Amino acid sequence: LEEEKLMATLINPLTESASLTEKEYVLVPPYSEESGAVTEYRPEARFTLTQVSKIPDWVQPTVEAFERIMRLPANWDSYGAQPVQSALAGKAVEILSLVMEEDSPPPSIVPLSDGGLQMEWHLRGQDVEIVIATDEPPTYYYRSHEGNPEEGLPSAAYARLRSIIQELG
Amino acid sequence: MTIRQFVDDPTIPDAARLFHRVHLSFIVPGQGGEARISSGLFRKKTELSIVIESVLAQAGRQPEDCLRNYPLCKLVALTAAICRQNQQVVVRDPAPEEPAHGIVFGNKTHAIASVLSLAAEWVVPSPPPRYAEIEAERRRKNV
Repeated sequence: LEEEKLMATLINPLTESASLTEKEYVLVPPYSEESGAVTEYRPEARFTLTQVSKIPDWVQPTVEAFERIMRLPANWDSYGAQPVQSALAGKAVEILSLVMEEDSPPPSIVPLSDGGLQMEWHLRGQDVEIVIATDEPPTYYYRSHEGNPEEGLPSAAYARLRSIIQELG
Repeated sequence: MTIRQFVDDPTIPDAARLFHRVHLSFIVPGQGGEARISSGLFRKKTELSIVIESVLAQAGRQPEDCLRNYPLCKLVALTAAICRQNQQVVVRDPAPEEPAHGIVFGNKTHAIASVLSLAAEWVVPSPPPRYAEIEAERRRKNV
């Protein structure tokens, strides 16, 4: 069921509060409380996700990957990189929620030096990259088995991306 | 922000290897479990900081020297040729802390960043690691 596909978003992960040590996740559309997940929105909280009825396999490694890149400090790459912007991580999660199926393979989450990030899959001789940049709308790039390049806006190709990514699994 | 302009340095031969550090976060699983360099490493880095291998060697220094004080990084190399073939210019830019320093200058679109990431050759470690090794190191170092 669609509502069983869960995704979490990251809210202000850099907040260090002694009273908020537990990990929490917040669901984003199209998922709903009907899935059985906790959806309480706590802007001051870190990650959030508890007691869901069924979580696709890709969620846990993806959340861990987001958590990892959000911990990176300034100059994390030794060349002056900026910390990843939490708003862009939220945008990335929103896109994932629209292009991932229950059995989709997890993306690699890569921070970019300017504070953006990209999500990528390199499987079955194909490459998919979705770039969430600081200075332009999200963009995707796809290279097929045959090496044919394709690029565009995820917002205009959610169904296409969902199909491509699922086939990689 | 001021964008500097550079003119390609013809005294750097096409075969010259140009070293660049790679943070563990830029390494992703590739086909068949290989460790692959993400195109994100090069994306939009108009001025890509590099170390020119020949200058490093002339000073009797080893490639590993580029990683001193950078325990979360690996080292890859691009040739000057592949940079030039992708609308980049290569220049020397010696600095007090790194006399072998140089810059690969040019607009690095996603297409160019992808080409450079696929062309990047592993220097440290060598031979190229498997992704599982990188992931284990990342977890061990909490990156």
